[in-house]
Amino acid sequence: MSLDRAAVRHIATLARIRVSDEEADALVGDLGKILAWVEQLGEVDTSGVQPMASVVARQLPRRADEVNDGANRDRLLGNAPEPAMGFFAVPKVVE
Amino acid sequence: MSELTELTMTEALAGLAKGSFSSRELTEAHIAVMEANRGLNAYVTETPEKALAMAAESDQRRKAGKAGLLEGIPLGIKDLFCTEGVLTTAGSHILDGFKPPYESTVTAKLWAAGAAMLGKLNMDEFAMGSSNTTSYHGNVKNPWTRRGDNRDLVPGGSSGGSASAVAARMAMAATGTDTGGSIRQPAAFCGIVGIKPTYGRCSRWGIVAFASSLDQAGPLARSVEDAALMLQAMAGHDPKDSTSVDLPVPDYRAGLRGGVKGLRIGIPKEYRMDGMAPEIEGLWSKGIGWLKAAGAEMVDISLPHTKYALPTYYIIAPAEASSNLARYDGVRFGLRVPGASLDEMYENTRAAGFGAEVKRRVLIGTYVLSAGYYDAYYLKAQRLRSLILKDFTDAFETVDAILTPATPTAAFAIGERMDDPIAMYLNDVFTVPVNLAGLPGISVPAGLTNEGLPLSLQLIGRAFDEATLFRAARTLEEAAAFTAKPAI
Amino acid sequence: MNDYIEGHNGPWEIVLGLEVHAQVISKAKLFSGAATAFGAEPNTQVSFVDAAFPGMLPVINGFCVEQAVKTGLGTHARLASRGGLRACQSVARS
Repeated sequence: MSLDRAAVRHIATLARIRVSDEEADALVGDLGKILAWVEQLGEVDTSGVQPMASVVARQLPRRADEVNDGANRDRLLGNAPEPAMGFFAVPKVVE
Repeated sequence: MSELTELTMTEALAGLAKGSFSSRELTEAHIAVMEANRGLNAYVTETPEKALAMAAESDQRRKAGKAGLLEGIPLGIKDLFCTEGVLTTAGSHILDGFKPPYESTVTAKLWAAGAAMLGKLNMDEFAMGSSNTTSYHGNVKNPWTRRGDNRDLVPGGSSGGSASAVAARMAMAATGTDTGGSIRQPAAFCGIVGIKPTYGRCSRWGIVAFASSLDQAGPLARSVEDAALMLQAMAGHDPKDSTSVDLPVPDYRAGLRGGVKGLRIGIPKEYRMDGMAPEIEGLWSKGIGWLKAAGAEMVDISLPHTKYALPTYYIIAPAEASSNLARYDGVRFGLRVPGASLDEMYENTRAAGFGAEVKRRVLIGTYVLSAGYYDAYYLKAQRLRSLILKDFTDAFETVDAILTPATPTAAFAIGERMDDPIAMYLNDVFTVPVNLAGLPGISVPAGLTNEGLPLSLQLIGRAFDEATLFRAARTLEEAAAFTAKPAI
Repeated sequence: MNDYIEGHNGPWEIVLGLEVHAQVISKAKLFSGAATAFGAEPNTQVSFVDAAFPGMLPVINGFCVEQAVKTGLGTHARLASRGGLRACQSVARS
């Protein structure tokens, strides 16, 4: 699977990372190499093999339906770059 | 005073119990070495006042007869563990200024056991790397250098700061995390002991996530006994981590000197790689000899899917990382780079905040999970993972532990292997399969290269059978009689 | 029996589907112990897990799982006896 610059730009948009044209070209090379290398998995016949969903083979633990968290707005906002009136302020979303 | 930093943790605990010295003196001694060796850049954040305060409290507790498992021991903490009120960076620019309002479960257990925190240790950014050359806070240096060559060497990674600090006696032991080898490989490069326990043995709550199905916390320490003691304190079920297993933590030091008589040790043929350095081959043979002499039985085994482990890992880990790192967006914590719109703010923040290796892996991960490619890459890799686990499960029908080299080479110079991302990935060829299978693995220093650099052997065990690993590792440690230390 | 409406270029058949989103009435959230009560001040019912702080991990609310299973039984749906998120989605569509 070879990548071109358009594909790299598309992935970068999905990942919300701005890439310059130079970076995109470098990534075409780097990502291309890595993807070519992982292609070798195609050599293995995996028909009938279950994908490993979880390393620990057990039931998902469940919590009781109790309120025992939240109610800590000050600590929640303590690291915010722009806390404002109890909110996380961000640039306006323009539709 | 400097003799205090030459002690193992076990020896230090005996000295503290006898009253030969206090935790304050022990901690001061380590703070002095930490301050004298800033050139290694092992610590991102030094917390000497906090360490001394904790040491003072420890001395009080000891006087009152309340000594915990690690009472009074000064430790270094990998900067991937959230420590309440103390800067936690994960080696990244994007977590600038982040002071967690909570303490990770593993570190909380260490403080409850009576230990003191010297500081936060440097690491590859978001635990992605095998050389500690991707940290926003600069490279970490290995305290070891080649004989007759003063080039700076890498300590390994991603727990490079942890390994460097313990080897250079800037901490009695340190926490690390291991996703593809990040405890075992730097421990090997720095000539100390490192163990990655079974997946689910330690809680991941409060540890900055890289790849959720692979990450596992573990200790780096100066001896097998120290590692066993530290794991004892770190391990245990946590209801806040759904992947942590509710099994009792055995006394890991109990059977430590039990020896290996009658133990069946597997030697996997696929780990003998083309072009393997003769020194590595030689050490592996020596290790086989030591275990045989101690009464173990060597069994040739095959782990047929070994060569597919690295590419499998480099699909799964980046995929999980792309999901785990989506939270770093400049909204709630860490770095924010302004943008005209919300999307622009996200893109600018992440472009500026993530280093090159992290970006590569997030992008690969995004790609392999994207529409149209999920089945071909991620699902395929998950199937390979089942096969790799089955290789081990089958092997453990006929053996009790597996012996392999820990790394394909000794520590290399900073700057080498930087051209090709894949060359760097090959450092983890012996360690990665163990994470994919969720099994425990320990690396034990066993010899020196001709240039005077440490080399280690790795033992791999059955799930939750760390006790057998410690027992076999102790036998190797005794036989190897590795006493070399880097000059600091 | 089919209802047809004559159109310009032939008969048209009306087919109606209902996609219903129903919220489980639980006291705490699905993946964290924060409250779900209506009307609280902003960000006062948000845990560090909900805010995806570094190192946080979800733990699923057992009551919500029970309610989902009951819903499946009540609508005579096929219930997956094991499986993760994908299995839940396929069950809901049957």
